[in-house]
Amino acid sequence: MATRREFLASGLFGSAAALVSSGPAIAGETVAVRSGLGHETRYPPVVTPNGTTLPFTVKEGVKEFHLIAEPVDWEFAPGMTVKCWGYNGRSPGPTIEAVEGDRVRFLVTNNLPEHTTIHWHGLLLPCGMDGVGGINQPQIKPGETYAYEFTLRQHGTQMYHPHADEMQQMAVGMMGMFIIHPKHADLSIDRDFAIMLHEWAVHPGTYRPDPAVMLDFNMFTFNGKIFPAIDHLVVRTGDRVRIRFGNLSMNQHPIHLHGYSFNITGTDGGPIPVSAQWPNTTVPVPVGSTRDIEFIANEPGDWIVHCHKAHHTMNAMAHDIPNTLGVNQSGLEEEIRRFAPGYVAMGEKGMAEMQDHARHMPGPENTLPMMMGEGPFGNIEMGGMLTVLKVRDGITSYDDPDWYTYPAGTQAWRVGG
Amino acid sequence: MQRDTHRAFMPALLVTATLTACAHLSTDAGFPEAQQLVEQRTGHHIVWQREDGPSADAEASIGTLLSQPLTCEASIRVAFLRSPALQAEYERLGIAQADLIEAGLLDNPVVSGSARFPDGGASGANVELAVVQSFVDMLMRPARQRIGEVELERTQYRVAHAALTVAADVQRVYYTLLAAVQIQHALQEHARATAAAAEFAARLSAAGNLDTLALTREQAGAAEAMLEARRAAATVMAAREDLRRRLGLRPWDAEPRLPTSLPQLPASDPTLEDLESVALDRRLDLQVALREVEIFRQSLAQAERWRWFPLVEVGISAERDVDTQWVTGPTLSLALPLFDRKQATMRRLQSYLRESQRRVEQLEIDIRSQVREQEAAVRLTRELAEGYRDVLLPLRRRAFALTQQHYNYMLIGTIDLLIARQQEMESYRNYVAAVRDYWVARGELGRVTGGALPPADATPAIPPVITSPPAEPGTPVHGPQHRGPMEIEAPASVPTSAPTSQPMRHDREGE
Repeated sequence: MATRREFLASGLFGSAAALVSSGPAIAGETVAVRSGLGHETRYPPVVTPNGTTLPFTVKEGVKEFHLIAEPVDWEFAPGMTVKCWGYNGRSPGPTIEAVEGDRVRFLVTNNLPEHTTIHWHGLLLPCGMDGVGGINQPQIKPGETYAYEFTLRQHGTQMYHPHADEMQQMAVGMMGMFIIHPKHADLSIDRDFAIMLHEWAVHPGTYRPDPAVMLDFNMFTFNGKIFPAIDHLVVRTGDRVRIRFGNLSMNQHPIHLHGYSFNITGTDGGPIPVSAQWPNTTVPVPVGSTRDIEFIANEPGDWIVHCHKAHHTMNAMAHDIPNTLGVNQSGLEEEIRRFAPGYVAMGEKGMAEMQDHARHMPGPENTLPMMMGEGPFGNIEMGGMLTVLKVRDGITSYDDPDWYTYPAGTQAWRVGG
Repeated sequence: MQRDTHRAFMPALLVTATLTACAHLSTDAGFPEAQQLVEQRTGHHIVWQREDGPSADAEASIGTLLSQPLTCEASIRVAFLRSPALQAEYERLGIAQADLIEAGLLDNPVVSGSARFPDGGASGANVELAVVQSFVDMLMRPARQRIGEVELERTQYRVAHAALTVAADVQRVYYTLLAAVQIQHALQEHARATAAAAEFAARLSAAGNLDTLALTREQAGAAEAMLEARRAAATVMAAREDLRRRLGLRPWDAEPRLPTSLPQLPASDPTLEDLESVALDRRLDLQVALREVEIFRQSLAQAERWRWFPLVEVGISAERDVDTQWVTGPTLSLALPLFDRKQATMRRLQSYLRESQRRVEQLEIDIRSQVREQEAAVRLTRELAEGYRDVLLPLRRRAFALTQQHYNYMLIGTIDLLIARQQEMESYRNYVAAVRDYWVARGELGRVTGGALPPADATPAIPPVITSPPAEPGTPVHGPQHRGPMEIEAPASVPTSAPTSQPMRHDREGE
């Protein structure tokens, strides 16, 4: 068994300062190993869809990371760019990956207009490193850099976020995943994904989230992205898959995976003993928590994974419009066009038509239509917190494949003429 | 000898009298001067209809003018041809002319005679003959004539001023009427839009998607807007009749056809230097007042000059007594200024004179102030009208186009969309009122300067409140568009009652 020192020296010494891409790695001889860390690693690196992993340098045995808190113009999806605050040019910030037992040091530079701190959510550490401004430390003023240093003595899925002007700074996007791998490498997992959930109030036609909104959010993201701009989760049939969810929003999100029954295997408090694990098809991720799920992807196909709060899979919606479902506007439509040229009655037979309308009727600037996405068989009519788990037989690369080709007899068919 | 004297006297008197009576008899009574005054200031020609009403030519002109959409200038022309009130003013000239003639007439000589018979006794009769002529009268005649001429002049100015007043009043009423009609149409469109909103609410209610309270509120809003449009009809009617009265229209005259829209503001207003002085020169009512002062001044001078000769009569008297002896000789009678020394007359005339002078002073103050007021009014109403046209209306249109974008993404509902359009329409109505106020102010500036403003260049009509034809469903609205004036369409019939559809039962179709 390698000592900790050997482990550090062999695997990670002098790794590049370049950003690590969420390069996929497939275990097994037939699969190319592509790890941005430059070395064969003892754990499959976590894939942060649409995101990155924070690089580090090793200085006298301490992994040193650099986080820069700064304003970020962040694209939720093409057509919508939002003035957020984040880390290292991203919202959420880069995923931190380390190993249980590592001594880690975080240099935090504040380029925000106001002071900040970083709290390490769920981490067991000396209180002075806990990052609550005013209690554990003076806040990091704009332009200053502080250092946090501690030894990791747990493993699991944690998070990091500010604890100064916390409500506002989180509302505009300051957070990130902090994943600690177990001391003894867990090689049972073939694919490991990290997804930070969040919700935002970006009023239609504006460019900045409104931190005063408490409950009426309208945009919902996985790692700061909105369907259809969320990267797909690509796995090979038979892979053991773990998906880690973090939630620092104001609402619980029940994340549902189609096609599988999975176990919830961990929280930000630690691993759940196998005998205590609950099977589920939906994992409720409470506010201020993380949840890990694991399953074996033994059924190929395109399986969607999404928040099951139906409004969280829509883009911009208003909630106090008249209910036009079932409302006949024939005859009235032409009369209204006298005053509003181009007026089209909407919603009588449901809202699906909105996706087609949005193609040629302009909406407010910087606003995404509530329904988007086109699949091989038609409009998908979704938005927000939704992506696709693509399970494919015998792939040799985790690059995004085409839509699934359905074998004969396995797809719903129309009966009759 | 005496007989020949008094026989020659009489014819001489008669000839003199006839000659003096023929002086100053002209048929036009100074009307051409009044015509010239009016034409200089308005460009319009006034006509004095001396027969019973306008001539056949005049009636034909009126008919032509009324057969086309009535412009402001055309309405002034109709008033000048027809208005009996104005024609009544012209007769003042005839009265003034008669006064002038009378001022040149001498008092008639008085011939008296008597024959008296004695009671019994002698057979003859006592015969008296006398001819008496007032004398001071003859001396005062030139001065009286001069005063009469001033009076005639004063009447010319008065008549011309009356015509200018008619023109200015017609102009004000014309623009008021035009704006009232245009605002009424705009209110009808507004009522139609609120009716559409109420109908939308009724459709929601019929589908079971709206509670009765919310529906009732929408219906009330539609009813209110409809009544507002009806109220505007009363304003229109009052203005219409006002114009008819001023034009002197009779029941058989065609109803004037008005343009559906006020004209735009001209690009700029003429810059006129020192309008106050110009107004003091040109105002005809000031000339009337000045003439009044002159009349009293001359009258007072006359009274002072002749106060000691109130009555002088010169004559010849002849008498034959019963003894048939004629006695003949001149007569002279004088009123002695013992009690009435014309002191009351003088006092009266002095007061009249001072009164008329004070009135002139006040009028001069008023004229200057009116000019300042109307100059500022023209500037301010222009600023307002341009503010509506160039700032507020484009903003309202832009807001509506952006509202439509929100509607396209189902971020707002149909009623909010219509409300945005109604806000634009309300700003439009205020714009129309501002344009009217400009044209009225401009007309009033012309009035208070005695017609010093050149006529405004012809400008196109302002666009109506609804200009775009209904687009095809789903036509992309590419943001705020400039809406140019289009074919002016007649406003559609206004629903005469609020939508009455009530949710009798909840229709569950579509569920």
